[in-house]
Amino acid sequence: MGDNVGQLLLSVKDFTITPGPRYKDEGSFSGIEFRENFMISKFENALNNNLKLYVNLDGTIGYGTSWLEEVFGGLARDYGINNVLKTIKLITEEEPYLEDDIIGYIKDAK
Amino acid sequence: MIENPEETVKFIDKLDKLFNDREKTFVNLEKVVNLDYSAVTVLVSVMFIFKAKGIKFNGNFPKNQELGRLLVDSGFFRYLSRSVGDKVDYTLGKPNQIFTRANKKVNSALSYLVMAESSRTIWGSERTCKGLHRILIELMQNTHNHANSEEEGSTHWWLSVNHDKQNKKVSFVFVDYGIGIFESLKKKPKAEKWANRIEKLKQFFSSHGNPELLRALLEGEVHMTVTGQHFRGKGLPGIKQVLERNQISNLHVISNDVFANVEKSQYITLKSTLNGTFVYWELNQTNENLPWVTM
Repeated sequence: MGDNVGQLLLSVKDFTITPGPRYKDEGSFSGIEFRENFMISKFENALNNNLKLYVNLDGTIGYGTSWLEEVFGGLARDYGINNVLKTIKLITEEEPYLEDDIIGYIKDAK
Repeated sequence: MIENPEETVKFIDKLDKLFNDREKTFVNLEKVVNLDYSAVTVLVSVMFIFKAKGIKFNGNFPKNQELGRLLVDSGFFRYLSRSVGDKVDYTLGKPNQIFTRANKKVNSALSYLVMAESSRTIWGSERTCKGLHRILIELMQNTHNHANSEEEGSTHWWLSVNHDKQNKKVSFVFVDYGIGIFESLKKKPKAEKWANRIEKLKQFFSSHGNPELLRALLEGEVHMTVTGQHFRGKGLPGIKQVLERNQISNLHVISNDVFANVEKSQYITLKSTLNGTFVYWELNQTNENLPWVTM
């Protein structure tokens, strides 16, 4: 599934199937690296054009809490909680519980 | 470690004192009658720590041949006579048996390899175990960030993976010799805005004690991080979550003077103190798993 009318798609597995820590100096495939190098341009595109950005979390071997917090909480710290909540849509069929966790990280981001 | 934590932690505490005094050490294993994988991991990691600092460390074989074999498979004796240096990365033992890795960073690629091997032992084919990746990442990250309050990323973590092919079960031991969870929390956070939280935490310490604090940290009732960033410190509840989601089994934690059998909600104070953090868990056929990921 690629980008579609009214929506953009970002799959974590295109970045890595082994998501790592929060910061680059802690190890490979960090959350900040994903956010800065893979997510921000698509997010800004979606935000500026009133589109939805679908983030597909399936197809990896799993996630640490810090990786998820840095990606989604970090985005909310930079662009505002409401902008992130209205723009980001999550696809997480393999781990449905992640949706609640991530929404919590976004709402807690300050 | 998990069957007789009191005696084992006391023994490690003794080794810790010898290490601090830089004393030549000989571990007499001759009369040992019970030695589980977790104790072997601790012994192997302690040996490396002594040798990395140039402190002489030696030991002998247990009379019990099965235990001797366990130690041979772990790589313990192979490294006794070698100089090990102070490297970032160590690998010893045999894949699909007792296999120990040490590092200072968060190594997510290692998690992939461990998952592939473990799932082959348990289910006969490679399976994705999301909870296994979660717990490994959280523990590596905790060691990197909190094991040394002066310098992040300066403490080794040790991961030992032990395959029980007969019972289709894999057990994991993760250990670091940092300052431990409670000592880490006592350190002053970087931001002044944490002063109130620290005060509340001190009150919690004094009225409940460390065992209750560990329970509250794992349950996410007490949220605390020494980084000064409120959004960090989700690692311990993240570990408890994977147990609750049946993604791992039989989780045990030992840190400083607390022993916890998390699955059974047993949190007790030990008489001796482990300067660091020890975590044990298992993966078996009843745990949640998904089809294998493809690159």
